[in-house]
Amino acid sequence: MEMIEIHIESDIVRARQAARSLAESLGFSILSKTRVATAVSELARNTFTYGGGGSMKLEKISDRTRVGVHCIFVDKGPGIEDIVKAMTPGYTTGKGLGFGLSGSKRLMDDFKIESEVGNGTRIEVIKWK
Amino acid sequence: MIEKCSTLEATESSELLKSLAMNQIPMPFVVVDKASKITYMNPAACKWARKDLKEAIGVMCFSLFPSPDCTLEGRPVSEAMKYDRTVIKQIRVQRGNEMVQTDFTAAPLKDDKGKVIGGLEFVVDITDRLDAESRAQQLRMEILELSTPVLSLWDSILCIPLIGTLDSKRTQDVMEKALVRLAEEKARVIVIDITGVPVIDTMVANHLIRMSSAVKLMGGDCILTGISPATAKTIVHLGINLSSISTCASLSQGLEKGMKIVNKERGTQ
Amino acid sequence: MEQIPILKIGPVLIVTIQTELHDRKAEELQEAILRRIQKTGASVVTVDITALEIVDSFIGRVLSETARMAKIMDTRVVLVGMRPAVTITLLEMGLELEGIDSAIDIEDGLKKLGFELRKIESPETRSERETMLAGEEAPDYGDD
Repeated sequence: MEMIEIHIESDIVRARQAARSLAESLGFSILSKTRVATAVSELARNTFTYGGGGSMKLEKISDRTRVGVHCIFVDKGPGIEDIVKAMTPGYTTGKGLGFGLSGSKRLMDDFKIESEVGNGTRIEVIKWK
Repeated sequence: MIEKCSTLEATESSELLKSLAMNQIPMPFVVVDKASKITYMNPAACKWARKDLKEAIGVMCFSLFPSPDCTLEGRPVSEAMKYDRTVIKQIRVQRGNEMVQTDFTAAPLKDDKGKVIGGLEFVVDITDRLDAESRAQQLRMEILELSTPVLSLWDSILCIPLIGTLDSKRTQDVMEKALVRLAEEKARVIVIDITGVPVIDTMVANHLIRMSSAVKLMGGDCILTGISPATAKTIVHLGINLSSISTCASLSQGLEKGMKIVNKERGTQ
Repeated sequence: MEQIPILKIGPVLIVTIQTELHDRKAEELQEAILRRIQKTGASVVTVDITALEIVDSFIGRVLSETARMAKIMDTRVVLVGMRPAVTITLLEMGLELEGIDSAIDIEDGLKKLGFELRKIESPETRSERETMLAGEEAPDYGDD
């Protein structure tokens, strides 16, 4: 398990590099590695930009037949008022294309988001090999 | 076989035969009362739970056969007793330190008046079956892989003859293969021939459009060939917009179009 | 922070991104390219992203915006060498890079543009440009 603090912009790069190398060590294909790194980049930026910083927990996950990459992003920011809206492709309140959340959901196999206004956001994602 | 058995054991009571059979059923078999406490289990079940019959009697069945896939109320045996019917579920059951995939069958146990007095549970380890299924799935994938070659048709021109139906998984595979070849060979044009695709519907068309966008993003061009009159009709009737892809009736026309693109840029036209 | 070099060869600016691109760096690159276009009046910019292992929505947005901004300044931006995995990932996310032309490598990109330039150039200027592309003029390294 690895904890990566996300407080400055270059932490986004650190987060996606860490996720990529974990995926690589688990033998992910080039395409799946790229998916993981891209989704982590989006989510880390979300934590940094909208959550005012936070952290990413990165670890290997496995069940009987497969292994995967498991990431949990946590911030103590303002939270997301309307999750359904935030998940809509193209919707953005900041500087982005508005594909961060919806895009990373499409790239990962499991995507769980919990948010409470005033109490921050927690996003959990899994990509199986 | 049955006849031989019955004649052979004619002097023995049928009770003995029953108990022999019960003790030798190779799959775990458990009898519980209405509170799910074990009243009997066969040797296979004892072996699974690593308990003697004596130790097991009176114990809750879910503590010897724990499953992460069931809630306390949602257990097959409770359901079987409650609704008086046989329940079969595919759940994981713990055996020692490992999780085993099982087909878990539960049935109500009734007295001679038909009143439910308990439940029966059968556990079948299906690990091997699932493994066989996943091997079969892998084999299917390999066949699929073989069925969509990416050919070098001409200098800087690749060709994918598509045969059979195109679902999203297959599109993904074909696209990945095609893009990797495009990058490796620095090809300029990919000709996708759909003569062998029986039905073009909105979904297939969307897959093709996506493939074409991907090729464009990498700096290539996509030409769709092998469009039969029937396919053309379907495309128009369904209102599918293929304007982002260059299309031709035959593969040879597609090749000609591709060569034009390549030659134009080389200035050798 | 190290600069991403912008080379000038004739009417072409060649940008090769060779490092991991973080957000601020991407924005700085956009700024640098636009300033260089203004200064040199280049008609084409090729941006080589062969080395980029990922392009997320932010980098995608910066690239597509740069192309559209350059277009307003009458300069074409050609994105070169996008990796297959990056391409598929972008499409899966639902991103479309508006306004971007692509090429498989710089050579192919120049070929594509060469054709367009040839159409508007007279034979004399064409041969002149070809000599320049052959490397008689020393490349001018990015200084801004």
